Amino acid sequence: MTETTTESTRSNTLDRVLNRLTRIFVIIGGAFLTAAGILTVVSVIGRYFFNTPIPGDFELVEMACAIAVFSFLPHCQLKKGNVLVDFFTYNSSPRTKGILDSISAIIYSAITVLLTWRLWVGGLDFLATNEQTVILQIPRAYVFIFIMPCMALLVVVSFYTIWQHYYEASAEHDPLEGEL
Amino acid sequence: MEGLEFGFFMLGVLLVLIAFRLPIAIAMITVGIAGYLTLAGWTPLLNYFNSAAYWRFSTYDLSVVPLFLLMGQFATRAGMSKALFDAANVFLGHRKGGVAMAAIGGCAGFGSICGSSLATAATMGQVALPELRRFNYSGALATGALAAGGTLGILIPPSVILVIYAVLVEANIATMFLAAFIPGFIAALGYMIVIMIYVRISPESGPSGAKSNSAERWAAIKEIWTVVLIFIIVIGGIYSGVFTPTEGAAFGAIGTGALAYFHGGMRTEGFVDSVMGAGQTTAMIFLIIFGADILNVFLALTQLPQELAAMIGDAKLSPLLVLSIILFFYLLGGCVMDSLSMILLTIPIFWPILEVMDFGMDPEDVKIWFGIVALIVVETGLITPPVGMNVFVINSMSKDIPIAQTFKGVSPFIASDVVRVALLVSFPGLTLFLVRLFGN
Repeated sequence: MTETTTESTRSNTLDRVLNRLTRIFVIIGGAFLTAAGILTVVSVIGRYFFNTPIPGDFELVEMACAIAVFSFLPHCQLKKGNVLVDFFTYNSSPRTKGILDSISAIIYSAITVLLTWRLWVGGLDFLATNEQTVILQIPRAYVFIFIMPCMALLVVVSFYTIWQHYYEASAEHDPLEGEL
Repeated sequence: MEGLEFGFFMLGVLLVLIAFRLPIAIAMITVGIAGYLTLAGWTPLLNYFNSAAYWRFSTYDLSVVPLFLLMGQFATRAGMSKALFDAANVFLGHRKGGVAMAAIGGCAGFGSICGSSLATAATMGQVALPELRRFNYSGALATGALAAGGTLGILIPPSVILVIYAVLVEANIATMFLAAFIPGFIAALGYMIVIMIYVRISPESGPSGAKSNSAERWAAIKEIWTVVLIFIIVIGGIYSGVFTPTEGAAFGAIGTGALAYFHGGMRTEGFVDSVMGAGQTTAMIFLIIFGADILNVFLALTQLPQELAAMIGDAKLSPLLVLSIILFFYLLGGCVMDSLSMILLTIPIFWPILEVMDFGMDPEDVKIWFGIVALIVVETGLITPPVGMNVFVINSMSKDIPIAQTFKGVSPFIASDVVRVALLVSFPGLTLFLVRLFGN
């Protein structure tokens, strides 16, 4: 019993840290997205009324969008936001569902590790070949400065969710425990 | 195994994985990786992963998606749902079933600044349900009308799914929005007719509400001018080619954001909540898109879509029969799966089949027409048992109404959906009229 208690406090700390981190990442991504929106509005007004658009605005929008999407991924996984079909397992026990979700998280973890590794290689490739955007000539490797921390957090979160799903399913804890 | 057989086998594996609760995006990525690895080996796979996610997530056309989602979040916080409902209510409320019709009208209005069905149903539910109960509307009609009305959110532009469909089949986003306009109008009209018939059969379930004078009507209209303005700028701008869909979405997001700030009292906390909501859905959608990419790279290697299309072409089946089978499949699939996953999963397989069939019109027109009809059919899944998400959202807001009542109340609206699909399939001109009028 004592062990469960220590385990659950530790989990709460980790849970809190991850929740806060993913939240910060979402806010950063959201800031990029909002900035891209404002930039676009300014550029369109400039183009339409003053005949002076912001050159290459769409390149910035594309990059901001990529950064935003990557920064949203950890939050989505932590909040179980990825849609799944609940129809065939609707009447299964919470334990069965938890184990299946845990297996899903194992698979997702493997994918995120693979993806992070290859994006790292891909980013270094962009750096080595000095791949740039056409108009503004921004090195594409810059975007990876933002992408890689997002992927690192996603790896941690996806591994954490393996345990989280399993724990929630197996532990017969009071659902109100955290509230009190 | 032959490529084709292997392709079918892996699609079977995909369905099994999905049935066992593997998130749809992750199931697609897993099957895509396994298939690609088997057919092409490690090196091409690893190279593909070097930059595929980066390129996909930085696709200009797709940046519409997070911006529209943000717009929907802001719209929810802008506090315009009440104004929209009131504006519809002053004109319709005094009729029998009028308050429910006003709820449909409010949903249609809210759908014009929000591209999501669930958000439309939830936001309008908060405003309209108390009014419907105040005038003693039956639980079945009140919740049924709102659940059905929510589906207008995705059909009336802006619509996230139409954007993704357009990117998938390389159609023009502006054209897709234009094509959705009349079907969206027919949908709202159809739902109102359903309510008229409903209250004729059972008058006590939908009594008439308050009558308004013209001063009240003017006052209510003045309250919604901001929504009208945003809709005209965003959709009008996209239609007329003044700006790209992404630019339109940016205007919409910033415009509704300003509305949420000045009218809805949104501050830092509300902004963060909006970003969190939009962010989670964005991540979910882009992960599915990424999964669909990998799956499609694999399917292309197996030649499955082309060979299947050729086989069905050789069988000399009537195009309308094939279309009906596909739509029936969507209706069944929509019952257990969300509409976006359905579209992303099936369009790469179904579209090559339909593309080569002769519907007696231009393939570009078929593309637009099929997209709209398919969207309506999968959206019907949102209000059908067993997992009609809209039904659950509305039902959870009115705890005293049993879920069976809500499903009962929504069934005449499903009938209206079926009639509308039949109408749109029989008369492609309804979808294509505006496209031809303002086309290119």
